[in-house]
Amino acid sequence: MRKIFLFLAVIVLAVILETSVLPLCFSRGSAPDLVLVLLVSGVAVFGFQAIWIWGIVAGFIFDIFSFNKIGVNIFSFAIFSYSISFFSRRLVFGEKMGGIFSSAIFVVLMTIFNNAWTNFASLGFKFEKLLNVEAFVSWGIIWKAVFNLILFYFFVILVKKQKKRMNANNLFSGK
Amino acid sequence: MSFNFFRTKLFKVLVVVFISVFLVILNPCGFFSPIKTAFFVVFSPFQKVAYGLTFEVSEIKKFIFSIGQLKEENEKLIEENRSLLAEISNLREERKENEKLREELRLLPRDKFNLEGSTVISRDSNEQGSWIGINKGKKDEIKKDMPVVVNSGILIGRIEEVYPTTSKVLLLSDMGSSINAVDSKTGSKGIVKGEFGSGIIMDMVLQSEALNQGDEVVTSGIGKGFPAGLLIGKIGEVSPSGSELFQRAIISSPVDFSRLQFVFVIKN
Repeated sequence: MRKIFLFLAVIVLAVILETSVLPLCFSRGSAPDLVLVLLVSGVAVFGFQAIWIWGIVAGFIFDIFSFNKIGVNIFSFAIFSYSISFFSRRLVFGEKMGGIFSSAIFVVLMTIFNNAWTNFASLGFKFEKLLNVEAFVSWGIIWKAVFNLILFYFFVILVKKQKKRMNANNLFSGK
Repeated sequence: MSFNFFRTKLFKVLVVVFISVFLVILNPCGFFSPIKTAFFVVFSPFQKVAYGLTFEVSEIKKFIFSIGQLKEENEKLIEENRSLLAEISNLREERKENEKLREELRLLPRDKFNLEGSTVISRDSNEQGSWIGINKGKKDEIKKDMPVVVNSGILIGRIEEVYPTTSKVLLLSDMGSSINAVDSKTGSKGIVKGEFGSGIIMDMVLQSEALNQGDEVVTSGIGKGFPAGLLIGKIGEVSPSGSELFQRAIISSPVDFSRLQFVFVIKN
C-alpha cells in the first residue's frame, strides 16, 4: 500500500513539474515530456507487464492537469510503452553503442509523434489544422527530443539503481 | 492458446487503447468534471507555489544574465524618460479626447472593467503554447468565454474551461482561438487567430482594405462578449491570404505569453 502511494506521489509530482515548472525553465516548446519519459524508462527497465497500469494512472492524471481530453495521454502512453517494450526485445537497448543509438532514435521519434498527437487532440482531432510541417518538426521539438533523450538515460540509470535497492518482486508482481 | 492471448502485452495494450478511446468519447458528457474538480481543489495550491517559485527563480536568473547590459539600458532609459515627459503632456490632451470618443461610441472606459486578478499556475509545455491555467474559477464567478487581459487592457485570450477553483485560458496563439478584430487606425476588420509558427495572425481582411505595419489591432466588440477596444498587438508583415480576396498580417503582441504570472479576467 505504501508503495502504491509512493508511485502515485511520484506521478503527481512529475505532472506538476511538467505543467507548472518545466515550461518556465525551457524555451517555448522545448520542455521535456517528463511524465512520458519517466514511464517509458520504467518500461525499459521493469518491462511492460509491470508498468502498464501505472501508464493508465499517469495518463489520466496528466490529462487532467494539462486540460486535455481524458484518454489522450493514456492512449499515447500505452502506445509508446508497448513500442519500447516491443523494440527492446528486437533492438538491443543497452549500454553498448548500438543500444544507445537505437534508444536515441526511439526517443526522438516518440517525441515527434507524441507532440503531433497532442496537437491533433487539442485541435479537436481535425486533420486539416495539422497540415503544417511545424506541427511535427520545429526547433522547439528538436530541443525537446534532445532533453527527452538526456532525461531518458538519466531515468534509466536511476530506475536501474532503484530496482536493485527495492524488492522488485513485491512491487512488480506482474512481471 | 486463447487463454494465453489474454495475458499477452498486445492484448493489454489493445485494452488500454480501447479504454482511452472510450474515455475520449465520454469527455463531452462532463463525466469527468467531479474528478477534475477534486484534483484541482487539492493540487492547485501546490501548482501555484511551484509556478510562483519557478517564475521568481527564472526572473533572478534573467536578471543575473542581464547585469552587463544594465548600464547601457539605464542610459537609454534616462533618454527615453526625457522624451516621455514631453509626450505625457500631449497624451493628457489626447486622453480627454479619447474619453469623449469612447463615450460617444459607448465603449466601456478601460479602467472601469470589473477585473478579477488571478495567478497563473500552469502552462502548456508544447510548441503551440496554447493555454495557461489560472487559480480562479466558478467560486469567483468566472464564466466561459470571458476575456483575459494583462495590464490595462492587453488581451491575451479567453476562458475556455471553468472549474470551482481553476480555469483554463485559451491563449490568442492557439489555433482554435479566433476573435473579431479591427485595425485601430484604418478601421479594417478581420479575424485574429493563432497559427503554428507565426503565433498570432489577422486574417480575412479584404484586399480593398488597408493594413499598415505598426498599426494597433484591437478587438472589434463583435461576438463572444468581448468589449471593443482591447489591444491585441501591432501589425507586422502583411501578405496575401490563401484566397486572393483576402490579406493577412502577422500580429506581434506586446505580451510575452511564456512569461505570464498575473492576469485579469474581465467579468462585466
